[in-house]
Amino acid sequence: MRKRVVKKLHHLIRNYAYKAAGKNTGPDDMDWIHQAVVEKYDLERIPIEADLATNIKRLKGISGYCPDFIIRQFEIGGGIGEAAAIFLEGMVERVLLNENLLKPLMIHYRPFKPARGSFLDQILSVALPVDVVKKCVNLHEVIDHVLEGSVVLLVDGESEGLALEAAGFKTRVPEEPMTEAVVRGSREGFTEALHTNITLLRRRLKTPNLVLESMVLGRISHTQVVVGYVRGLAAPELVAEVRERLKRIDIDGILESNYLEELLRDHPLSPFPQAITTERPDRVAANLLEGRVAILTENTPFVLIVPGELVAHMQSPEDFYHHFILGVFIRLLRWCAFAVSLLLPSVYVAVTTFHQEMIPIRLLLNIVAAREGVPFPAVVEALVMEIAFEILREAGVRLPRAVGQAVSIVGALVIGEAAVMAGVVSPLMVIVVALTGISSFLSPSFDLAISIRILRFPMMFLAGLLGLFGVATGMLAVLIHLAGLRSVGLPYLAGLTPFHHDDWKDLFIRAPLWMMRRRPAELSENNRKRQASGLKPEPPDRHPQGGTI
Amino acid sequence: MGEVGPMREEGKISAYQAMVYQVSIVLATAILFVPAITAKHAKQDAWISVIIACFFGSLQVYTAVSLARRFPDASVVQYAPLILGKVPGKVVGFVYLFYFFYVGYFVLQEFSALMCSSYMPRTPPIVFMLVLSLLAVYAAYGGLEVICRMSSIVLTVVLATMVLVVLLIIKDIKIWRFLPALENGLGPILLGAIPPGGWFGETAVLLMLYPFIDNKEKVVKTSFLAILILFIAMEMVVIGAVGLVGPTEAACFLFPTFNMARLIKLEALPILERQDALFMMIWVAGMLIKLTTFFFAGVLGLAQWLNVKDYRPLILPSMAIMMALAVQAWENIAELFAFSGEVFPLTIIFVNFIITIFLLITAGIRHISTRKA
Amino acid sequence: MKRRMLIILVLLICLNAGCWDLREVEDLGYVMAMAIDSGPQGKIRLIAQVPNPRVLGGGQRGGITPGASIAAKPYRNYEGTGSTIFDALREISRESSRRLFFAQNRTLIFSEAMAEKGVGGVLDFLKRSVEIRHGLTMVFVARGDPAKILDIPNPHATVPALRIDDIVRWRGQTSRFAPVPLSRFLETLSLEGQEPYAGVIEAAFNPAAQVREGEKAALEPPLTLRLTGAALFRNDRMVGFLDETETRGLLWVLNEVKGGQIVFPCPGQEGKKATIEILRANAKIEPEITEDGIIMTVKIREEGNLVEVEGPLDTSKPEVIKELDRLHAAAIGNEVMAAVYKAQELGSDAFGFGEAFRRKFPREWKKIKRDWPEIFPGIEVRVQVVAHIRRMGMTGKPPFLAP
Repeated sequence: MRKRVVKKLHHLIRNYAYKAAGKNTGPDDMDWIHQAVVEKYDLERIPIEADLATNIKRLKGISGYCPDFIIRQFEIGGGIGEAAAIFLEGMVERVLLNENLLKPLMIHYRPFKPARGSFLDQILSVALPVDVVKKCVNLHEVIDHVLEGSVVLLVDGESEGLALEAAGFKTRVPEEPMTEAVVRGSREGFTEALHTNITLLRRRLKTPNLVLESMVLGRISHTQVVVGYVRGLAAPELVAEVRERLKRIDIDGILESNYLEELLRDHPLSPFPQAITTERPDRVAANLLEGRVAILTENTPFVLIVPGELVAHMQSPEDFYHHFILGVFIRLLRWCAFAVSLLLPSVYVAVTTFHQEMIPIRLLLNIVAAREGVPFPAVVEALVMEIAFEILREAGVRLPRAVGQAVSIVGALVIGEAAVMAGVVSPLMVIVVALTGISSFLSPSFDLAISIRILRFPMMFLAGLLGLFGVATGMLAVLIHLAGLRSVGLPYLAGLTPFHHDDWKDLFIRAPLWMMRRRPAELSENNRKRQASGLKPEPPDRHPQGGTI
Repeated sequence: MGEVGPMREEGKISAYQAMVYQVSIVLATAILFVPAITAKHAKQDAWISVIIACFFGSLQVYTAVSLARRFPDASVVQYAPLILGKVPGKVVGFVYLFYFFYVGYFVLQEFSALMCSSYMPRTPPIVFMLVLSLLAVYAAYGGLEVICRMSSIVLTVVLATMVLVVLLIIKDIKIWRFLPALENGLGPILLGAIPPGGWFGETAVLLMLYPFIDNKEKVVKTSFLAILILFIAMEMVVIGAVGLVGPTEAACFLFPTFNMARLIKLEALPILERQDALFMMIWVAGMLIKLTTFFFAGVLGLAQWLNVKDYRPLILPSMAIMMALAVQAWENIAELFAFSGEVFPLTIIFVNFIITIFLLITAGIRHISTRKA
Repeated sequence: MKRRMLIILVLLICLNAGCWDLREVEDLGYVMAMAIDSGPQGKIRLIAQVPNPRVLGGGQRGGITPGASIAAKPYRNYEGTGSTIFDALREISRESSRRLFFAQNRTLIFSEAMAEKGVGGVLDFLKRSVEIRHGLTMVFVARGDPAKILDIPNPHATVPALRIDDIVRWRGQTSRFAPVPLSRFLETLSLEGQEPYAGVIEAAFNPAAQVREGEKAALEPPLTLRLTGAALFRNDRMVGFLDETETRGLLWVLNEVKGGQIVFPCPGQEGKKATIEILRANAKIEPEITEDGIIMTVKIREEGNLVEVEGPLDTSKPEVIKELDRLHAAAIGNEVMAAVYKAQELGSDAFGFGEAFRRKFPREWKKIKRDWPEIFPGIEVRVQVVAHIRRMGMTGKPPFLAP
């Protein structure tokens, strides 16, 4: 909604500007407004005049006569004074506006005798049952508050306005996140509304040390961005660094949190994600407890968590919601799937075209029999199949749900069955591609899965060129790249190397909770202790304090 | 005389990371060739040779540490002129840094020799050299910290794989292949101890790393730990190779460790047979860290020798020169192997031990040290 | 920017020149068994068995396979003759549509003539080869034409190479033939105090191949493939064969007995036999120097299960078992001694007596190692067997023994 207003405003102003080129006469002139808005956004210079009509005229000019920009003029208390309520239709709660603003002012208002303070103060103290009210002194503030979803009350004869918080736009209720479903655990996900998201977070970490710093980014979009961390856990240098990087951002609009990620990452060209993205409040809370910093962005349910090193991308909060043995198993499975989704096609190509001795003879004969009549070299076959799979996958995501099913059936039939029957590809390659594709979904981080998906192709290319040596080369190149990577100053391979004994309890496995006494070493150098020692449950008779027998 | 002090190099490393560096610089080629070269002289007593070599290596690394501790903020290339005077010091510095490049191009040749002999005979050797050196250049641009991080991961994988290979052949290792002990007396054993002794001495690379280590008090401990790790690794391959096929055959092997992996035979799990190409992948990684560590030490030394602030501009030219040297160096594999068994160990002992001990004694006599009391 | 251009350029060059060692999986002929024979005029005849994946490969066939309807043979034996083994091998490539690939080879057969002439020349190629796996290739000597042996049909394992492979895998059923990995063969060749041996493979008459009434030909193939005995070498020349009993005698000493049956006379009744199945065995050679010369004592410990008793014996009595222990220990001793006599007669120390001597008396060995081939036939060998029956199946007494 707000976006539309801003856009229209822009457009209209530009038209005026052309007409009145060269003139610079004052705030009532459209050209002046154009200059103010587009070039400098300097509406602060236009004060609220005591004359209500002038203010209304100017506001209408600024708004560009948008249909949803509503200026409701009325009389206070039946002729005591003239006033106007300015708001955006759809952004405010109707009931609140009518019941708590218009009704008391228009019908119930009786002036106080003797009058204390200004007229505006009187109204504020007796007639407006609204909790949050701010004063504004210039049109910039008026417009800002209106765009935020407040109702601004201007009274004739007063050079101040009142902004009453009445935001009531439609938002989604928290529901289960689409991208990160869990079997066990909270079913709440973040929504597009920032205040809802903050509530979700507050409910999980009830401490005054949960610090939320707000800032507004985006010249035009005016997106509210909140940096959240737990005081005492997050390293102050880390918070300062995040703050610094966010402040450096000067862009017209921030529509999604990825805008922020791209603008604050350490290595802009790296395919690897340098922040964790999540829709789950519990994941954010868990990461804040490790001393990380969360960045919440308005209008998107995706929250960024920094630093997001490699190991953090492989951890899911759900690992801790099940029995730890299952957690260990799933972690191991996840790392295997990580390797499979990166390497399987390339290893298959390398082994079948360079190192045939590695395959047991009976399987080898099957592969040969299957590949006889396939006209392409194995590497081309693999590349074609992988690309076909990617096409199907993208199509499956984008297509309307009803059609999507049909596409997946056609895809499965065409790729899986007909292509094999026609001798275009070998059945083994179909298995390889399918396994690879499915493995990539095991990653708890969609961003990491994407980078793996992309890296798979150069790997296949190298495998076709140099066999397993090529695969080794590719892996080493990735390793060197990772070793040089940092996420907001934290080395990307932190946790893996250098070796910290405690970190390995939450790396390839997930140790039982009572063993995980420390926070990640390189993240929380000063406050490492997570819990009391000796939490391992024991039968009461063996407990040192003794117990009932 | 130029100012002595650490040059621009981001970050410090811990003593344990320095240990990783020391192990990486020796491991890959040593485990590949030690069994053949040692068994040639010492026969079934090769394992005793490795023990002796280990003591010799400890001596060398202790000499190096003693020298390094006198000059905590500089590398040997920087303080050699302090000890010996400008011109001789520069010459010694050049010998050191040339040694790094020299081993570097030797490693490149060895690497391409193995790849061409065992896996891809038709691929031109220059391809392997090029690929490996490009990776090394990439890592060198990252700097010391990146190299240490990468090496520690690669090293873990390499050592784990070696243990795995030994576990897979352990049932075929026969004790009687090591008998009789001391058949030909101590002479051949000592002779067989020279090459591994030289390799152990490569841990003296500490002379270059010392200024970058932040917890210097641990260096003695970690250096000996590095020797210990290398000792275990070498013993594993020596015992594996000799115990599997006997000393005569082990001495014939051009690449004993590889041949060992090729001899894995498991009737219970035949899928694990013939998987030596996977071992090759791991070994490529080991070779890379070896090349990278040498190359980086060389480039760093070169920059210090030339008194340049940043070593990065020197990376590509140095690699080009190294490649050129590697391509022209040895005509065939027989020359290469004769060289690696007979000449090479002596040259590295000369640099790592003789020169180091000479510097140490001179510095001791002349009471030169930049250490704060 | 310049650097990025350089990378792209390098990649393009790679594309241009690459794939030097690439070979598609279907372009290779996987040699599963190879036989080396000496041909006329000192030439070498090589037989390589290559399977036909179209027949052997399971699963869905991809594409149109021309000629698939013809009932194809599951393998093809290529034959080539040349001055050296590599020469012969490349001769084959003139008739094979696929490049021969030896890394999957598990069986290496020398013809009798070749083995007698000496295999040293060809062994060098095998040792040098990158593809051939020494630990996995089993060495055999063929009695009869190896080409014929490698072409014996069989309905189960249709490729003879796979059949040999499987028989070798189950060698512990009898331990009466002596397959040896190429690596071990090469090692013993390099040792001064030990001579190599190899398994023997032969084409035997198939007793099941009888023409039944109303049928023109037998349903079974007339010949069958059999692994039997061992061939002994002196240096790289074969000097003779061991029969099956002697072979196991050799294997006892070499610690290669993985199982098998021991049949020996049953006490109490004439002509009746008892049978033991070997579970595990362990042997040790202990050399001694006495005034009379060198004495080798072979100490064998064996454990077995009683599987068959023909005589009326109450095997639930410990003293009976003790008696059986003694008797089957004697049977083992006889096998060993038979092997030793035969080997001494042939003059081939396949047991490694010399090696055992060297390990114990390195200094004395230096003096006698040159004369070892002459000394070996004269040394005295003693066998000490400790044998134990551990279990005896599901019953204590034979069925007809009155309680």
